[in-house]
Amino acid sequence: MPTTRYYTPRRRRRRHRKALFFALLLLICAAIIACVIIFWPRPVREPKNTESSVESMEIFTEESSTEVSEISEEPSLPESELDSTVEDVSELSEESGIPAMAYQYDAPVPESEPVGEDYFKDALFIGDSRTQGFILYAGLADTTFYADKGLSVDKVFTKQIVSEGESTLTVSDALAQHQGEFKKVYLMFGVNELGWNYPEIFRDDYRKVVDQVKQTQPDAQVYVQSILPVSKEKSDSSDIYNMDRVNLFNDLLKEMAADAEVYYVDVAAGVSDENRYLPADASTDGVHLNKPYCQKWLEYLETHTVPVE
Amino acid sequence: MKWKAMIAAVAAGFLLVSCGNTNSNVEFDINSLAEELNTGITYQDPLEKLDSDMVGMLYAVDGLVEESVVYMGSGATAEEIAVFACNDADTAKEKVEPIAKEHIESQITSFENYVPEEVAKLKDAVVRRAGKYVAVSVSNDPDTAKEIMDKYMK
Repeated sequence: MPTTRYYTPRRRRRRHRKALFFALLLLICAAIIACVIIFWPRPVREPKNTESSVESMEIFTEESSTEVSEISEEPSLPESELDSTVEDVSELSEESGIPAMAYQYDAPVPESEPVGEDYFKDALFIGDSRTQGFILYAGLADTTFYADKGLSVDKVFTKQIVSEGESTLTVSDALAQHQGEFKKVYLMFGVNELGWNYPEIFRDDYRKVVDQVKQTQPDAQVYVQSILPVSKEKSDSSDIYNMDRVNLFNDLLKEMAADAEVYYVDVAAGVSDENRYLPADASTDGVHLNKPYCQKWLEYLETHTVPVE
Repeated sequence: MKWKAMIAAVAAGFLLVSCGNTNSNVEFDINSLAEELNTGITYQDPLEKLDSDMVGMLYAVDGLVEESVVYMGSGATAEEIAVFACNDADTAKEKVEPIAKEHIESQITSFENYVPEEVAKLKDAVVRRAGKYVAVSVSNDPDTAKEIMDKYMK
């Protein structure tokens, strides 16, 4: 058979085609890998000094937060780990079950590892007579509190209750005078406002208090505590101090806390019975908690904190 | 007649002294007095003994007293017991007794617009001083409180 440069024996043609095929396959694979590396979405962390970035990290466990920070902080990530970032993020989500997303402010603070009483040394409690009772019976001797009988969200800015040497200040002024001193601020209002005709005004006034706290205590975690329940006897006998009103106001508080991006901690759950009433043995008047129930309240707070980064 | 007037004046003087400062040499266990005030009177709101390091939150007596004991309710009422063993009799008279009275006045202001029916108890509060001791009782039975205090402080 004559051979020309255009003529290739069959075996050689087959080999040639095979080579072409594999070369093409390799090229396609390389193109796919390149596309995946370039276009696969990666979680991006916001700068550390913003509230949302601090709060978005707070739901992670210590272990997973370390891994996520290694993955998502691209500028500091070693080159050798770059190839594994995509797989690591998806594996992390699967392993820990924790989504790489911002803190869910519209949900109550979940249960956490218990903290000790020292945790509250740099805390401030602001509230009404229930908070007064709580501070005395919880035994938090080193904790600051701005609380008074009958204090309501509007009186935070007008009623002088905080003794400062020779003067007495409003809560608002005291917060300004002690700018930046507190790392946690716990708020509880509501029982004195249950009789207000317009609950939305309570929500809006409460928001003003939250804003004042955030402005004067920029490094503080702000916890809005749910309004504690009243007893069934009290609830059944009062047009104002009843669980319908308490629940309505608490729904507004949840909404406000989510909107203001502060933590809503459902302390009511820590002292309620199975029907969400304050148990009969918790109080003489169905409203103010006795010592054992103030200590249950404290226990709930100790087991429902949001970790700080 | 003059000598009768003199005798009457001296007797009146002794009476006044005995009312204001029942016994300057008295010594007793403040916890016993506080406990008897707690159990000897029926309170509307059961009282609980505060931890000693919480007393300073109610009464600014840090550094003025050797020992103190306070019983408080839940906040539903103004009922309260406080007994202090002060550093000395002068401190009791010049510092702690005025602090106790100021506390009562402050409570009256707080309860006036909060639970007005508690103001009556506060206005009938018993504040007694004897030697280095100051005792406070806010209850709906001030007469029994005085009788109990007399047992320890007279």
